[in-house]
Amino acid sequence: MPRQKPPVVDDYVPEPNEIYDLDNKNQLNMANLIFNDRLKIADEYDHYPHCKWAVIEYKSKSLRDSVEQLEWTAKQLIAMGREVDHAIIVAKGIDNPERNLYRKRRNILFYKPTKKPVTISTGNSKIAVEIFNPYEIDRQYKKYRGTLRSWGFK
Amino acid sequence: MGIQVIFYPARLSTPEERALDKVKVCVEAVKFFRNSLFYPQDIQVWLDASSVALGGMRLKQLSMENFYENTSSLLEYLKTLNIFDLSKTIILFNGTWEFNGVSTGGYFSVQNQEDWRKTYGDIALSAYARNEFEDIVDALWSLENGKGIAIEFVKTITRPDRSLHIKPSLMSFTNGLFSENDPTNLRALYLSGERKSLLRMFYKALLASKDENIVAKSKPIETRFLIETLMSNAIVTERIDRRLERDLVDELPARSTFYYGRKPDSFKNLFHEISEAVLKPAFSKLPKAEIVEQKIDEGLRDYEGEW
Repeated sequence: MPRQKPPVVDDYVPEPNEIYDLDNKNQLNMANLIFNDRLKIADEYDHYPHCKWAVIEYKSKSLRDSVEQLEWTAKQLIAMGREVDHAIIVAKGIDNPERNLYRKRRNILFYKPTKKPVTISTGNSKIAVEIFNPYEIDRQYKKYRGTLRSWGFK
Repeated sequence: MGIQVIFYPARLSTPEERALDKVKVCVEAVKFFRNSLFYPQDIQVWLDASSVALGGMRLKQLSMENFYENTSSLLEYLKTLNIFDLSKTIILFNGTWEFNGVSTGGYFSVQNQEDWRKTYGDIALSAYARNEFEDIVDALWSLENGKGIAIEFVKTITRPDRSLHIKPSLMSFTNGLFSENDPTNLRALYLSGERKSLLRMFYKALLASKDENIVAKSKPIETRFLIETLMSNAIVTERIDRRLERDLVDELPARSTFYYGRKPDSFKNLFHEISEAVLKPAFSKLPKAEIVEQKIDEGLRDYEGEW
């Protein structure tokens, strides 16, 4: 299993110092992220160089829990006046019983009973929850090897 | 996710009675862990799904300031719902888990909504992943007396209660989600009905794995007949005994049977061993379904009597 890393978004990846581990109190303080409730918090809040912010959940073993953590974290970030442009789950796949409820289509997570993408509110709009397999991310990095745009000015 | 409870109807009952009984059992489950490992914060009743992101709608929220009063209020509220809405509810008991000084959010949930029930069981317990543990079973097993807690929890939930119309048929403790089609992530398992339930579960999982030799021969064989034939055979008992010991799975009486894997891969090994030593050999001499069909056809054609 490749090391967990954030997916490539619009040809960008975040710089290491723009990746905020939401379990790490020091990093939360540095980024001035003050959560009322950290118990349902997602894993990372990453800043991509083209000024997009992503909330990412890696560790959860169920999509139900991952979605709830992303939704909860996004809600708290919006309440803090922060931006959320992407909500991402990184998971090996959709485990057997959850295939009753979810499917993945082109990296968008769909909820089968409604046949619609799973969406999270970001204040005035909604964003679809994206889902990536760690091997897909690894291939993204290899494909873009050396050519990833790390700065918006390139 | 990590702990699931699945019920069967123990006596004649209405869907409302069964839905409310599940909530009553869930309250007992919360009480078991309350103020030792789990600190309840609120109760939420959702329709269709347990989050807005999945198109769910929150019908009711109750704080947990007074546990007994609010759980009674919950049951009274649910009785006011019509059966169509009640059958689409998901009830959450949200709160905080604390394992070895590490806190994380989590919940107990009752799935009345059918798709959710098929996916997550009748009752599910979960703790959100942290760096220190991946899920509630991971966290529970990290405790010094984790095994004892799991056994006592099973005894609490399976305690006979004549007021209930349901009984637990299965309680699973897994890393990740429980699936009958793949028992390899089990850490512990309660099954009603003793060993034949375990064998039945492994047989269904073997079928789901699409093992060609089994699938091709399984159609004419009624599952109940197969399991009862196997269980009545001393060779099977001996082989299961040996594999349970070898794969480090403790078989403990707990009103029916509670299997506890001493290592993370105990159940994975047990499933593999019982498939190889019992299920596959049992099928090895049986004809394929197409041969049985041919024989049926031959018998019909050989009939010389009057039509």
